[in-house]
Amino acid sequence: MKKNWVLSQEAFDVLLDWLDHDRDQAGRRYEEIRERLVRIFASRGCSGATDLADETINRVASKVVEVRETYSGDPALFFYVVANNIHKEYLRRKPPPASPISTSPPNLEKQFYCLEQCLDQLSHENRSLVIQYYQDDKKAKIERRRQIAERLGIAPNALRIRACRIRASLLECVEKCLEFDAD
Amino acid sequence: MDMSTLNKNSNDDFRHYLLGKLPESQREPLEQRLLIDSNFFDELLTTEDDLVDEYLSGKLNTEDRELFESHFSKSDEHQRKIQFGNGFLQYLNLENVRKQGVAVDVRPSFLNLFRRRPGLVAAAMLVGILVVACVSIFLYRRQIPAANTKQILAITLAPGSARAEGSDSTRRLQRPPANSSVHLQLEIAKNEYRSYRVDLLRENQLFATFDALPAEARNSHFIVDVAVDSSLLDVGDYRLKLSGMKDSNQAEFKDQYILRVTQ
Repeated sequence: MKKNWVLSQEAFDVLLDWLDHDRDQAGRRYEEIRERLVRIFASRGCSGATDLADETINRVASKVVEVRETYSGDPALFFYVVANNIHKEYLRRKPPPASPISTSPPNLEKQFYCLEQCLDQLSHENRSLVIQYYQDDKKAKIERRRQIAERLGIAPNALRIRACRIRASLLECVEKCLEFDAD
Repeated sequence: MDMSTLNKNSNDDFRHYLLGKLPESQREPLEQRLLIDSNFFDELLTTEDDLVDEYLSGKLNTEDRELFESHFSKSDEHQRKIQFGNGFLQYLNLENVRKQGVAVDVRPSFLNLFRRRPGLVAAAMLVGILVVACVSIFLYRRQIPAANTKQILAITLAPGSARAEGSDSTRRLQRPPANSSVHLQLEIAKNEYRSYRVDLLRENQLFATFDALPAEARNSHFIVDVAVDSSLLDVGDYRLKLSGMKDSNQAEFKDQYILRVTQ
């Protein structure tokens, strides 16, 4: 990649067009690929996974004009090839060792307050689902989850994914709430 | 290995992948599929949450716990999930306790009984009044203050890292009465930290965390006093994990204490 290459609006438009000719569809695909690259770098144990994903996207964008004519296949897999190169460079930079896990949030009371606020923003059904799904332990939990899935008429795995999405939205909401309070 | 030969039990693959122990030959097809298969990607996210919850409730085996700490938790994204998960699970535990408290308090069944059997309820109330009167007279004669003060119990626990949970030497506490507070005094030989954190676990599930606890000198040693509301202590085995807080605000595990609450 050329040094100091900056993602311009024009290059970004070309990238989106390569992902899909429909602009909205391309935007969604772009977000999906970015989110998944972040997860891939995180799962490889990289710190700064978001930066590495953005670096990957920038590098793909810088090559897309020359690549799009000859490349065949899902563009997401081209991102993967570039991501592998970025990862090798990351490893060569000698990444910092893992910092100890801090399970204790800075202010538990504030986090509880934010959780209450965010749970209140959910629909009644989602609120009750996420609380029931993650509550209890062992057999009681398994049985409870089976009952919830049965009540909703969905497969256990679909319930698992639904609960996970609600939990992810709660995480985003709580983080925003905590940030807002810190300002 | 191509994508079609991925382990059918993808949950196991994801666990190995997230803990950094999936062989390179399997990692590549898995990652490629993550990029193009939305359902597959959703599976990864749910497995992340499961791993976080298992770690926080102490359910991971030693090898996986070490990999979780050395590999999984390296990324900021996973750290976010761990921090959130910790608060969320503690919130749910408290919510559960609160809900149980409310369940005991629910009164409609009493009202229904009153509607159906007014005579029986009136007789029961009369007996109740008589019992209260007798107890009041008894207390008055013994000159015991009748004020309904919150009862406080204290129990000292010795460090027990080498002791198996539930062994004969486990310190026992009779289930404390409602509306009381139990002071669990954790003995430590030296006071090396500016403050302490105590995690209360029941059946390996984190139940509550107590932060910013000071150590107090007691004869030749020190104690860290944890005031636990009786509503958190039901019959069962409890483990208290004591960590010292370093100046960098990082917790360092010191010792564990075992307590059995009996009927």
